[in-house]
Amino acid sequence: MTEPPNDGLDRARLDAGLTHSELWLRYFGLGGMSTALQVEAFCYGVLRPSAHDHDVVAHALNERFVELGGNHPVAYSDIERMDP
Amino acid sequence: MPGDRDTSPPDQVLERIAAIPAGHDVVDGCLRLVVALTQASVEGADGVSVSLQRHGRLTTVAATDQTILDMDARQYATGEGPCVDASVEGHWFHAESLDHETRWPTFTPKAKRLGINAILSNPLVAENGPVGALNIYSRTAAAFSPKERALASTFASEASILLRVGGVDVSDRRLSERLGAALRNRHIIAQAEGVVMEREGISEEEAYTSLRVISQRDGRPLAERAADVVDSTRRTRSGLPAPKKTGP
Repeated sequence: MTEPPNDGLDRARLDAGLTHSELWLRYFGLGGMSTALQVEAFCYGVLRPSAHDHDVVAHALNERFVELGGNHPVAYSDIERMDP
Repeated sequence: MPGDRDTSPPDQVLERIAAIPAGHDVVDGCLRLVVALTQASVEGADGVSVSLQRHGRLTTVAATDQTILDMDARQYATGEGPCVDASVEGHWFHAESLDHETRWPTFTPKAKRLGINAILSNPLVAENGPVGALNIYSRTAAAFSPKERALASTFASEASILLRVGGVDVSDRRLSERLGAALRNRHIIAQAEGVVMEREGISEEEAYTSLRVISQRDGRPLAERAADVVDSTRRTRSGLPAPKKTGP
């Protein structure tokens, strides 16, 4: 796996209309193990998530985008960029 | 102190504060600032507080002094008063003069004994409805002119934005429902990971990735796809035909 692309997570969170606590709850529901504060730090790029953690956050965001009628715009660690 | 004051209109100050990413401590700190700004800005405001729903009941998270804390506490205890009604009903309540107030017969005499003569409560409204109130108390009857009432409403609106930005938009009951759903999802995903690990002879992380890729491909939530995987093993054990295979 390549390095997780952790830039832009907070931009995606804002575009998805999720608060930090809502994002964490979704991340937690997908099996994420990091705390709410850690996930917030991932979003801001203050803390670098593992590739797996990045992908769980990305998937939490992407599931929200699907609910909003979109696709999977947030890139996963093993894919350069998905088409929006 | 005079001379050191930010000369921006209070609503602009609050908009800037609302842009700060906030946790609960930050939200409470901002609400204390809202209370101070409201008292400084609304003419006739002798005391101000913010009530919020926490752990299923109203509680005061910021107040200018002990008398105001007592005022709020008496409303919570009697279940009456503009603060309680604004928090529950989601619109403002104005007791212009407690001498002529009849809506809260148990609470009003207690307020008057503490020297309060007028109260203005504006609701704090988060995403899912009212969650509290911004309460302004005056010792002077008819203290709040239409202009002051409009200013108070602006403060309450901006404080509501703070609450939404801070994520204070989920009642305790709703939060516990959502946590319950999150735990069920975690459980079903963990079960499906186990099934895929056994079937494919791969690691836990690889199994998760496999499920996630399928969820992504089908545009269906991961927990739903995980439930399909777990369900397929039940069908196999019971001898039922497996549904058409679309994933691991």
